[in-house]
Amino acid sequence: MTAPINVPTAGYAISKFPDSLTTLGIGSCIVICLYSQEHQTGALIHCMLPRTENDNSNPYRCVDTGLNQIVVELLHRGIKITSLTAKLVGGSQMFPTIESEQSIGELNIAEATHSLHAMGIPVVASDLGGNSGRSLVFDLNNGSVSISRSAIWPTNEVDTNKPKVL
Amino acid sequence: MSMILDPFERDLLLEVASIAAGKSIAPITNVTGQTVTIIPPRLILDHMEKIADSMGHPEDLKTVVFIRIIGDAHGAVVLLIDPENLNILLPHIENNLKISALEEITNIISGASLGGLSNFLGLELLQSTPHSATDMLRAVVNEIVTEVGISNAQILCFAIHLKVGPTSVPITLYMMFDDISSAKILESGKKHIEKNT
Repeated sequence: MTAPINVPTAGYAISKFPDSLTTLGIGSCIVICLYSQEHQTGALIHCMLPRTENDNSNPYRCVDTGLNQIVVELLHRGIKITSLTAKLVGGSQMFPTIESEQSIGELNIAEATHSLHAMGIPVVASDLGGNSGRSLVFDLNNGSVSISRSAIWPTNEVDTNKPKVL
Repeated sequence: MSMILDPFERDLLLEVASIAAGKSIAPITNVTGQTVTIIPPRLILDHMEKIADSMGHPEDLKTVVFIRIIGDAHGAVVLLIDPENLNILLPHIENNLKISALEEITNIISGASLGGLSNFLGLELLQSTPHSATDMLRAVVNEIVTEVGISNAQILCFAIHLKVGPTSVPITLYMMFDDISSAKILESGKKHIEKNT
């Protein structure tokens, strides 16, 4: 089995089984995993912000432009929107003591949910919010997403013994 | 706005970073009672998504203290330390108080460094209360850089590496500024040099 394709922050990847995709250290960012079972093809984007403001140098930095871009790319590869399902991971608030009306994580969740709904792509599973970081592996054999968290300091206990699977 | 630095501007900003670094030594020495060594500061000017990965592996477990910079410039002071090194840095402080103590240390370092920059640049640089988290490096730092870079994705970052005590406990202090503030800092630095030459 080959190593998963590693997607950086504000990056994306599209691939087919037998590949798998991974992205590490997800905090307030949101990761959207799109999957077509029919084609055993998946796309992953790791977005930092909900909407593009001024700097559009990297469309995958923001949910609005990133999602549009990746769906267009999937269409070019012959994958219809109607065959896609979505899984969402992230949107944490890493500094819970910061007071704000809506955290950047919550804004990212809201934008991703809204944009996917507008495109008619169903969100079939999610692991969202909270106050801790996550990493994930997206298996393109069946579209499953395995989520791990770091050990909790100072007890050194691992948050979950097994990765959570969506 | 996209900032590109010429060699003179890069040297000038490194000088600014060195002032901030120099001002950070005394507070750490006073609070910890340990000697502090500074490695020459590093300058990072990049898009927000690249900043966290310039600090280490995305899944490294780090304790991070974050303070907002407000006033004439907007940004953040960020202190990074491996959580297990807190016992070496603060051996006489009870475990449940170590994070609070680190927040206070960061508060003092930040005040001294920003005070030094304020004097040099003629800008009013103030700070908010500290916040902390211990988790994956990228997860924590990305939340900070989204706040700093939300209006424009480019961020200027001074990376100040400190080694504390006989075992050289590594602590890294980052000072980040948004693009408008970076331009102000550069402009003020140039004025200071013109005035003094």
